[in-house]
Amino acid sequence: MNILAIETATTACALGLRSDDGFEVGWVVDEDRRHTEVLAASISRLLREARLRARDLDRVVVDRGPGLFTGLRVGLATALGLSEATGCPLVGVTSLELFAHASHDSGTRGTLVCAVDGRRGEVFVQTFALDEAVTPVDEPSVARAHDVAAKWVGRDEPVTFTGDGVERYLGDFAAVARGVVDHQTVPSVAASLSLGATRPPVARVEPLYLRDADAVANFTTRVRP
Amino acid sequence: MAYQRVCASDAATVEAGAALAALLRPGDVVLLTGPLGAGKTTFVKGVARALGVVERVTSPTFTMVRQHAAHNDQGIATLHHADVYRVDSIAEVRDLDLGELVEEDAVALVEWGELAAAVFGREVLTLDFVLDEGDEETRRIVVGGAIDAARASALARWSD
Repeated sequence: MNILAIETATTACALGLRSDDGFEVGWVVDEDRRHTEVLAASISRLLREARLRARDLDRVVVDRGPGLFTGLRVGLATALGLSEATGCPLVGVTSLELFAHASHDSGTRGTLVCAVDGRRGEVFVQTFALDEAVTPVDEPSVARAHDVAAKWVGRDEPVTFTGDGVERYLGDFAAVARGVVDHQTVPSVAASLSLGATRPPVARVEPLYLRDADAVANFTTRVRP
Repeated sequence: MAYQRVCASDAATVEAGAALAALLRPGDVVLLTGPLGAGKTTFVKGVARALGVVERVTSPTFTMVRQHAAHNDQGIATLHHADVYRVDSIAEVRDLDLGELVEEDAVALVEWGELAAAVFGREVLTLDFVLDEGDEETRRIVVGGAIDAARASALARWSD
């Protein structure tokens, strides 16, 4: 299966490609929010290097967040465009599960808290249990980084923290005595390729904006004078 | 403790804005609430003046957001002045992407921002503009939201 992974949920832009010919590459293209400038050009370059054309792709996997809003829009629009143009199926993964699977692959076991930078003091967070498998133990949510870390400060249970949200608010997470940090900043495109290969394709991928539920409720009930 | 300041005229409202500007830091989002004519845009003019914005500040009701280059020693390079009064869906507020834009050495002042508060997260300052009954000129500005210790003492001085 020729499979392309698009990663734009953080300030970094990354791509992964695995081909039937045994070509496999994971590439962090840029780390400074230039998704718009670099994504499409980098996909062309990567396909050329793998000696593939866009229509040879059997699947596009895209990180649908949660994460950087501007990045997600570029990544999802590009993935949808590719899929529309070539007819190749689309698969969505989340940034939080990519961090979890990469941490699992590098040997982490037990409780893992993944945190993606939500900007301005907040993180998108999800807890996973890692044994032979990676199992989410709660739903993704948005919370203050400080509060997420504080929940673990007094506990006697070991925990691993990972994600760009942890890196950004490292001071808060370093205060957890039984906590260990698995340093990751870019959701893994290797994990994206592996997960994407096994998931059933979907008709449409929607970005995961965790702040929406409250916002929509407030907005639709608002009173404008 | 409530932080508030009574402004008896437009000029006093501009001054209140200018004084509040000194408390702002890059990354701040400020939501301004209050009825039409309560002085929100007038207040933003004061903030803009104190942040060293040269352009004229007008209501962004129809453009939704205006960017003004700022020149100050607070590290604030851009003032985003938004108004979401006419916005029809929460997606449009999200599309403005103010929460991420302010991370680039900017601050955002959002009129009617409470309509879409959840988009902006918890770390916001809120300014409520309350009109005095029977006196259109006098308004009270009440500050709330995420106020840390450093800002609390400055706000106490800003208050009446």
